[in-house]
Parts: sequence; structure tokens; C-alpha cells
Amino acid sequence: MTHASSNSARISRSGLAFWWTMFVGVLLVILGLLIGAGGAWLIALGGSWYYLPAGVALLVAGILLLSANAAGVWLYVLTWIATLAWAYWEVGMDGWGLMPRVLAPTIVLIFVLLTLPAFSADRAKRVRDAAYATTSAGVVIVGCGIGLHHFTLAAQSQEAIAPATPPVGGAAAGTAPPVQPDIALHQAGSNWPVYGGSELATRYSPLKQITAGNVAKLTKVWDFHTGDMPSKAAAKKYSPENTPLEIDGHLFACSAKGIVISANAATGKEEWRYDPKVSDDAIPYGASCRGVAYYAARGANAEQPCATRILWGTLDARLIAIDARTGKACGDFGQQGVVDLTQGLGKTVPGWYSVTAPPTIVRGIAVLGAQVKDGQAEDAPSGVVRGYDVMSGKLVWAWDMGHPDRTGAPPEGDTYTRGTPNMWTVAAADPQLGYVYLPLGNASVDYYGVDRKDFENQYNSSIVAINVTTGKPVWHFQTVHHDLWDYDLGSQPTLVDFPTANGKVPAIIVPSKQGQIYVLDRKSGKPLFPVEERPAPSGGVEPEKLSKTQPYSGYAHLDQPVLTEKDMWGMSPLDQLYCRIQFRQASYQGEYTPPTVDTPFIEYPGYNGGSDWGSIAVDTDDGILIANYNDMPNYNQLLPREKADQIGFKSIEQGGGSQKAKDMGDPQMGSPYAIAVNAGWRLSTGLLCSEPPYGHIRAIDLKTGKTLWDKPLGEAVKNGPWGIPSMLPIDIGTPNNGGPLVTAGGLIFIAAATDDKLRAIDIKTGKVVWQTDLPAGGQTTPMTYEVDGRQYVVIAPGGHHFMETKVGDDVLAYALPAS
Amino acid sequence: MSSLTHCPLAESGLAGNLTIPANYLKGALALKAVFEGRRQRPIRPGRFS
Repeated sequence: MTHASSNSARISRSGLAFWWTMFVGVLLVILGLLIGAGGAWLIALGGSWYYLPAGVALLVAGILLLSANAAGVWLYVLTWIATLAWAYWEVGMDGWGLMPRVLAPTIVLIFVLLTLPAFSADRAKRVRDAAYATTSAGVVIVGCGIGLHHFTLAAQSQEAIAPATPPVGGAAAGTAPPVQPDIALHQAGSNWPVYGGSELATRYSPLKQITAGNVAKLTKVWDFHTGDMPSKAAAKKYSPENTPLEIDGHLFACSAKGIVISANAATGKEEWRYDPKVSDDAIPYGASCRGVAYYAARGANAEQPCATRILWGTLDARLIAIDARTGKACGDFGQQGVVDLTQGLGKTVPGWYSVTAPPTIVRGIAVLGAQVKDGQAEDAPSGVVRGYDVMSGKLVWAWDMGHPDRTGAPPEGDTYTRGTPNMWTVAAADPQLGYVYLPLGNASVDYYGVDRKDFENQYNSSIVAINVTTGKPVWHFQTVHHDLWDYDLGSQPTLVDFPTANGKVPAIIVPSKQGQIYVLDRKSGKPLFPVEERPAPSGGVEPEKLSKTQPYSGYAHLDQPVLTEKDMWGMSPLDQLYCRIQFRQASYQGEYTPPTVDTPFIEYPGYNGGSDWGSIAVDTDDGILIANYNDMPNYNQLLPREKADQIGFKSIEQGGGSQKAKDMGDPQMGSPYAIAVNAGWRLSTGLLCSEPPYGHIRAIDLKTGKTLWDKPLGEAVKNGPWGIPSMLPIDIGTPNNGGPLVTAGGLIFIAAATDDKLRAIDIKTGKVVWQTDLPAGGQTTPMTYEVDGRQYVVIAPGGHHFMETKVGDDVLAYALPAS
Repeated sequence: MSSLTHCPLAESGLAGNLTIPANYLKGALALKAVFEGRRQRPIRPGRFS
């Protein structure tokens, strides 16, 4: 035993207690230096003043402990108390906000308190008693605070559900008079005949055998495997996203690389399969086949080959038609059942022009666009949307916005206008009206718009109504002016008979990646609710081209308030501090902050939504709109061409560039800048810089647009730092990708989150009433149908490469026990 | 004690779930995947499409 100093307790310089004290001292010194230095940096950037003094205090406390001075313990305890007070001042009792601020400091507090045995008995006792008393109170506060997030999130469930609007005259399907077969609406019922349930894409089924009262008994009744799993070369490129169809007891699914399988809808037993033999190099971002389309030839003998047929597009740009009964190619369609979609495109390479969405068939015409891989070059394949005769495969029309005078293929030696906005996602249609509604993307390239043509500026990120007979646009509504954020319309629009004071109006609901939900008259495109043009930020690299305003919906919106430095998150004060520094370093003027080259810029919401391709569902009987959505920023920066060249950015046509460049972003060849994108604004830990929840599900009163309830979607069980599953069954609200299914049984079926679960949610309360673990990521949309009086819910959980969920090839069916 | 019973942490069920050791065994096994490099640094420019 020895005296370390006149102010220090006596401490033995050997033994576990001594070495523990030295360890904690070193830890505090390191933390103090990091937090202090980062704190000084943050102050210089105009940020919080908490971290610098906190870092200095930790540094001094560490030095005191290394000097065997018990005052180090006191100083740390005081710093911890001050941290609690600061955390409460910043975020109140928000559990997710408190976590990075107080959890790690509290763990360190325990470490510090465990040094007390190293000090002499009488002095240590005083310190111990005081410290324990202080800490005990603090721990209770912290524990309650962290647990409070459940309370906070539960409070987000807004007012009790409004009395559902009783159907007046029924939904669109119910009021539809008998019509000629070729303009008939194919509505979900005992069948699920169209990707979105019907051409209207409500994702609503009138089936009600499964209810909130009996869903607990729901069990898996069959599953089968598509057998389409990624090769080593395609290991991180699979995202099947498939929603099967079901018609008259036969289920039609497609796999990641477009293998179409027919199965007995009651047993899951495979009936036939057709493999288009797509090669791995045709995969753009991900191997996806969201669905197929079904068509029954009008007046055809049912025994005739291809009287009923399945059509779909492939990743390698083929439109294929096969017999729905046998899986054999339709010889009367194209060349032995195949139409080459690269005709008229001009220069392209595998993976640049790929079909990932099902065709929309209206009045005997199959309408389809394609995914043109983003950000490669301004001189990219055209975004032309084409209509093909569903029986012959002949081109009926092509809508090439650069050549509005043309109706068909370009003349010999010419191509469809290159680089125009494309339709990579799914269209909806009104067969009676004869309109197809195209959710359009962005002109190439996404983050630079100086070179865009007038017609591209006109149609970019617009919903366009096309007369399916002529292929000519009837009206369009633009959701982003001069889009420099890849805010293309990913969501399939939904058509409803919208309840108004003057009766029901045929309407189209358009959700956007920014979270705006627009409601328009689907005959005229005129908004049914006000659309306000609000001033937008200025600056960036093309200030003269920026739109001075952007449209905001007066109906409903899913977006959250603008980010502030306080919204930065992490596991601990260290990564939260780093995120705060990044926040202060970036250009951020709120939504629509222009892309910048000198500094990073924050894009919030990020380009994954808001609402993406999973879109929404609408209970048209009770008037409830269901929207799952994301809440995540992107952290981006333009890169001058010279720098991009040094890194190795090249377009897909040039071979795709270096791995480093691929990991950073897109080359945008032909423009002065490449773009570096950090989607979700993640650190190397894999965690996001912004605070959860990252994914929600919301119920909206269809008539008024008011929120009925809003809840986080997805547990944290399979997420954590460095990809380590936390195993915490907390409703953190994970990123979600896939859509909802709503049934007349009062249930929402949805997977989409990264916890690999399929849930049934009571539509009236938002409460999860049933859930099951899926064998892979549920990044798709479930569907439902009935065979022999039994309702089935089917999902094809295929996982998703960017969601980092497990890839799989199952197609699963759930039903109540057979009576 | 009565105040503790109203603590949201206690009411959330989280405390009970934390005691499930099997979950954490799975978590520990996940570390193996990390060391095997199967889970690497996050993909940055990815799209949900």
C-alpha cells in the first residue's frame, strides 16, 4: 500500500483491482481524446458544444485514475450526470434518441465504479456509497427511458380509428356493368388474376374467411421451391420480389431470373415450368421478376393452344408468351413465343435494359417499359414504353416522347430517343376508360440535368395516362420538377372510385418516393385535393436549371420533418459524434437540397422512399388506405469527372469500372460529374446515421387523407452493428421493401421488413395479430385467393441483396386448418 | 416498487425477452459469419428496385 498523492486514495499497485483501474483510466483517456477532438471539430463546424467539454472531462478523469486518484471516479460520475441532463435536454424521453447518448456512458460508468475496490477502505466506502446512490437513481431513469420508446412509438398511433366510410354503391369492380370481355376488369376475388389484384392495383381482396379472430390458427399448408438460387457470380445480385398470380386453381410464379412455374394452387405441386435461360450478366442491380401477366383469348376454344397465356419480360429484354395450361411457348406470338425488346433501342449491353415488372394487359395490348440501369451514361437506351398485341406479339404502338409524331418503331438506322425517362415499375390501368397509367422515372442521368431535353423535363418523374388504343398521352402530372435526386415514381398507382361531396369520382392515387400521396381525377389528371407549389432550395452545380418550386400534396404525405443535428444516431456517442460532424459538413437545405460537388449533400428522404415499388393497398369497402414506407436519408456527393476517372468510374457499356467505383456510386458518363451515393447514410458499422424508426406502416382514411394509425414496421432481431443480429424483439421499424395486401377479413398481410417475418395486422387498430418467420427475406408483396372454399395467403420470400436479407426460392401458402 | 411496475421497460416485455439465452447463442453464432467475411461492410449505392 502506498500514497499516490496527497489528494488520492491509497491504492495497491498490484492485483486485479489496480490493473482494472489502469485499464479504465486508459479507456477514459482514449475516449476523452476522441470525443474531445471530435467535439472541437464539431464546434468549428457550428455544431453541439456538448462533446468538447465531455471529452475533456473524460480525459482528466482518466488521467486521475491513472494517477490512482479517486477523484477520477467522482469526475466521471459528474460527467455522466451532466450527460443525462444534456441528453434529456436534447431528446426528452425519446428512447431511440437517449440510447446513443446514455447507454455507452452508463456502461463505462459501471466500469468506473468497479475501480472503487482499488482504493482504501474508508475513502472508498464514502465514494462507493455516494456513487452507488447516484448511479442507482440514474440507471432506473436510463432503463425507463430506453424502455419508453415503446410508449413513445405506441403514442404515434394517432386518434382511434374513425368510423369506416360505408361503401356507397360499392367499389369500382362492384359497380362495373357487364362489358365486352376485352375491356373487362379482372378483379381479385376467388382468383388473384393481376399483379396488383386487378388492373386497378388496389391490392384488396374481398375474401374474408381469415379474420382477426381466427388468424392465430393460420398455418403453412404447402411450399415449393423455384430452384432459382444465385450462382457465385450472382451471389449479391438476387432480389426476386415476386408476387404470383392465381387463376382457377393454378398458381403462376416467376423466379429471380424469370423461370415461370405453374403449381396446383391448393397443394403447391408443380405442374410445369418454363426456363428462359437468362444469363447472370443480364442482371442489372438485382435479379427481379415482380410478376407475370395472364390473358384469356376472347372467344377462343379453351382446348386451343395458348387460349390462355402467360406473358412476362425478362432481364435480357425478351417479352415471352407461353401457354398457361402447358408452359409451352406460343408459336403465334413473336418468334416462337418471343419478342426481342432490344429492337430499336440502339446501343446496349447485357444488364443495361432489363424488364423486372409484369406487363399491363388492357384491351388485348400488353404494355411494358423496362429498367434502364441508372446513372450509367446520358447516352443510354431509351425509356420508350411499348404496346404489343397480346396474341401476335406485334408492336401496336411505341410511345417515344422524343418523337411524339411517331406511333411505331423508329425508321431503319434510327433508334428510339435515347436517355429518356423509363418505366421500370408496374403500371395500372382502367380497362373501361382505356387508359394505362405509367409511373415514369428519370432521364439519364439522375443527378445532373443540364443536358436534358424539353420533353424530358416535361415528363420526368410524372404519372402519364396513355390511351392504350393509340399509344398517345392523354394527360400527365409531374411529381418532381427537374428531378436531380432519383425521385422517380417507383410505386404502382392505385385506381379507386374516390368518395367526394359530389359522389364518387374515378381517381388515381399516386404515392411518391418523397412520401407525397397525390389524388387525381383519372380521366383528366386534375388534382382532387390541392397541390401546393412550395419554394425549393437553390444553389448546387446547376442553379439556373433548378425548379424554383416543388409540388406538395394537400391530401396526405408520409415524409417526416427536416433533419437536424440532433437527429444523428449511432451505437454510442462516438459514432453519433461522427454522424454529427458529417451532418455539419454536408450541404442541407431540407428536401430538394441541390446536388453539390464541393461538399456532400443530404438527400432526405433518400431515393428508396417514402413509398417505393411495393406501393399501397386500399380497402375500397371500408375506405382505408394502407401505406408502408421508409424514412431514411442518402448522403451523396458529385465527383468531378477527372476525380471519377482516377477512381475508375466507367459505365456498364465500358465494362463497369473498378470495384471501388462500383462501391461508391454511378459514373454518369457524358455529364461533368459522377455521383457518390451512400444510400441510407450508413457508417462502416452498417448502422444508419439517422435515428429509427426507418420503416413504418400507416392507415389513412381514404376520404379525408387523415392518419388513422401509424406504427413502426419490423423488429431489430436480425439487424445490428457489423451485420450481427441483435436478437432484440423491439419494433425498431426497419427499412422495408415490398407491399401490403388487404382483405375484407379486416387484415393487412405484409412482410417487407428486414426481420424476415410475414405479419397479419388488424386494419382497425394496427395491432399485429399473427406473424410467422419466413425462410428468407420477405421483400415482396403477398397475395390471396380461394380454392374449394378455402382461402390461401401466398408469399414468395426471395430476400434482397441490398436489404442484406437471406436469399431464398420458396413459395409458401398459409391457410386455416381444413374443416 | 409501484413506480417500477409502471416503468415502460418492465411493461414492454423487453426485460423478459432479454432472458432468452437461446437468442443470444444465435447472436454469438452470427459472429462466426462475420469472421468468415460473409457479412462485409454495407453496400452503399444500393437501390431497393
